[in-house]
Amino acid sequence: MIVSRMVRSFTLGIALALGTASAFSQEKLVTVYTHRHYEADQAIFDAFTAKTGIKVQVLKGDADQLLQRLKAEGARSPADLFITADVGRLWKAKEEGLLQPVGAPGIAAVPAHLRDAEGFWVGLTKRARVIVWDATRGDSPPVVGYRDLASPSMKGKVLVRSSGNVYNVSMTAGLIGSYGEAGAANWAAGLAANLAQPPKGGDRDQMKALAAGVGGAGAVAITNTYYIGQLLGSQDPAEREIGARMRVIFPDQGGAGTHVNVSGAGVTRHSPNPAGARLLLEYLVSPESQRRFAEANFEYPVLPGVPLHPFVAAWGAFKEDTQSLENLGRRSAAALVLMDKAGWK
Amino acid sequence: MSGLAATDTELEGLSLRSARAEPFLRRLARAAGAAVPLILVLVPLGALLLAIAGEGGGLAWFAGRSGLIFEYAAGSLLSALIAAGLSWLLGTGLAWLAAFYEFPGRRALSLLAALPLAVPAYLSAYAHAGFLDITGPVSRLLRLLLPDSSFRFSPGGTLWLGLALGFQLYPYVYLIVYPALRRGLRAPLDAARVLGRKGAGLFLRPGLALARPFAAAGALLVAMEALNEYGAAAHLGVPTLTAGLVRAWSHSFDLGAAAAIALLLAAMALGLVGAERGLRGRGRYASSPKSAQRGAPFQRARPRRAWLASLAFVLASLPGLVIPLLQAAWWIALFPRAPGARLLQAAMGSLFLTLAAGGLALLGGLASLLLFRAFGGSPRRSGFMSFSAKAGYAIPAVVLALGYVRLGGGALAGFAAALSLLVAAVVARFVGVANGGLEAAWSHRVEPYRAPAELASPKAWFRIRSVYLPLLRPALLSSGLLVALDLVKELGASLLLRPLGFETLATFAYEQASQELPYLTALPGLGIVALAGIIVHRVHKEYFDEG
Repeated sequence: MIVSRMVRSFTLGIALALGTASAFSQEKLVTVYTHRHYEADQAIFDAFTAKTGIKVQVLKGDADQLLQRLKAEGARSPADLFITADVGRLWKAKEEGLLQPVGAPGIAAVPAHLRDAEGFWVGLTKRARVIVWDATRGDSPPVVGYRDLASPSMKGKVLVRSSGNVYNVSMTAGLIGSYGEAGAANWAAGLAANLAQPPKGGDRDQMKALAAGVGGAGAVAITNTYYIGQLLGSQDPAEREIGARMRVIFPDQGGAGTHVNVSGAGVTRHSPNPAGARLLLEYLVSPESQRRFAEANFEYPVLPGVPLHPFVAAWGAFKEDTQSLENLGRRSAAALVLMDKAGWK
Repeated sequence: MSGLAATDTELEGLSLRSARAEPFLRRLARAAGAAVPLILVLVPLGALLLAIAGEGGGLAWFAGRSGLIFEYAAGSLLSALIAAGLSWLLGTGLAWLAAFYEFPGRRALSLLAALPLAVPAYLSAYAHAGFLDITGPVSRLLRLLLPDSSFRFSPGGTLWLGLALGFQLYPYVYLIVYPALRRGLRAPLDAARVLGRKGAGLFLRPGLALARPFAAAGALLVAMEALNEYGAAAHLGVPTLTAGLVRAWSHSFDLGAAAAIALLLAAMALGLVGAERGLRGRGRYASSPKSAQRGAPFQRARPRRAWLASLAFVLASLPGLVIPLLQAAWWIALFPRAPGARLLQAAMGSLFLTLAAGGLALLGGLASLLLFRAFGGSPRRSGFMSFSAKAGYAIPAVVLALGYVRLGGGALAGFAAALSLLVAAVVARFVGVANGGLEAAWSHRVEPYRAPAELASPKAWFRIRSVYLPLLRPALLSSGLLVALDLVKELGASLLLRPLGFETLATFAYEQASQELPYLTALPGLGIVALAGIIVHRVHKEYFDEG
């Protein structure tokens, strides 16, 4: 009885959902396939709807799986915009012919190195891959760049997540650009030999392990900047305390600069509403949305001049690696090979 | 029943006549029954292989990575064996205590011991990490009691993964062995008792040996689940074949290499199926859900031993149930959030998937069994049938789902089509679970009446309706419940194939976990545990209640 009532109400729910969707004409609906799961993103989509009257329909999922789905759906795909949290996936989407040139004048304000040279995708936010250490456990470690992480003096002192994580793949792809493939391979082998523990968990877990004393005094962890912000802004006082203990080192300030990755978006090749998708894309890089990204998720805005979150601003300005982000995607397979061979799990 | 009895000569004659002039349709029905589950798996895999052939890649990925593949294979096999071994010990030991002894809280504790099955392993892994890390309750308490202590927990590694999965999945063994001990194995155990065996002696010999086919069947399910596990392995940093598959597919964009690893994984799973057959020897697993037969009275243990038995049940359920629930409560207290409409919508999605796909998987499993068995498929010819039914379970969920994505193509863009493909993919994966339970019930309850039924009526439909289905009815419920349990926790196919606007509790929890904010998994996680818990409770009632 209960089950049949629940099935009836579910069927009604489905019918309502379908009815709602069909009530919107194609021009009044933009469908987004996104790997970003942040609540801030939904707030930005809602604000876009309030401003333009265009409803935003979202399918969240793993970037690679969404890519496969886009590919399989082909010309019948309902997706208008594809958003990922890693430039490697944007490059892949372009390579697979799943995107079309953005062609929106509103994105011109985004610095050139954060956009695709041929206009197939544009960065929405930046995240720097930095080195942190625990201020309560001794003095600043002898680390100024990524290369130092592979130095024998750092044996048992480095915490980093799995090499399979996209942020590490893109960072290593960036280092191939700086050191060459053989140099990056040596670096990865050195890093793998210096690990304080086998890679496990995410970036936040590395900082928690650092705070728990893994690696002892002088130990460091590799993390994306916004995870430090998440700790600092946590509702849990214990997490806030760990965040406050972290000190940030922007690597390679004397060289190529700190590795940055982008969350980015592109208009899909078979978008049923490309005009709507372009409008949304322009809205996502507008000062209003960029401020929201920075405030809610501690990310660096791609638009110059947008104020940073106070936590992020406190770490200071830094020189970022401005090599073509497209190269990171192109080199990601090579990066993974050399990390595998180096024994970085 | 005596009216249906037939002599050996009559049966032999029937069999000879059948062999001489077996109608084509009868053979076709039997072949369809045996092959349909396999077709549900082979068609999407074929679509995937075609796509891979079109895209190239594959073996080049393995160049210079042979050591890595060995490591992946070792990680998968070891964690699966550790999980299966621990499940065997825990499941059989607890089932023995629950089946024969009276101890404080026996009924409630016997349910508690089954409930870890309601907690998805990847959510449990997040909860353990949170429970033990520096911000978790254990470390906080330790710092409070011993401020100068530098002791820290560091969960990770193959052994940890195997043990964690064992503590999560042992109820598969427990739920299968318990009814066997209470009913099917009662007579030989009574005989051993009469011959002077008792207590630990009775358990070690002949108890363990008699329970072996049942424990092996449960341990096989545990090993299959362990081989398929990705989330927990990735979080604990254990290199496994599933992790390698994702690595090859996601980061190297090499579908060919991913398919090769998937094949290795499937081969390993099928190897485990073979190992299970070897382990159970000539014994045969048959599930024995609730029957009218009342089991032997429970023995009253000495008070101290009785309390120790109660403690064993509590301790066994700590890692897989109590700690994840405590951690979820801790997270909710620290990070309070209102459940919200999305949680309800996701719960409805889970319910729909469970009812629709569960019902179809059960129907598919039943149809497949009846077509094969009712049209002359004999136990000796059931090898292919068994392989066919288990094939879907041996293929990683994400691989099967990817095959359906390729198969669905543009149709995925539509709500109904995408939902249908999702249902098809999970039916393909879990029809074997339904079929396995029904197949066991057939051997156990129906097979003895088949020849007499064939003598009584030449019409297959009459036999199905009047004899086979009534005898299979209890197994239908218990098999359906086991399928439902898997479906509530299903993530791999739902993530890839769900239509726009459709969400399940598992995809919702995954989304929250993707943000590296594991505390956000607490609410959807509790939703899954609540739904799955209701099913486990029903399974427990089905298996533990006596008429």
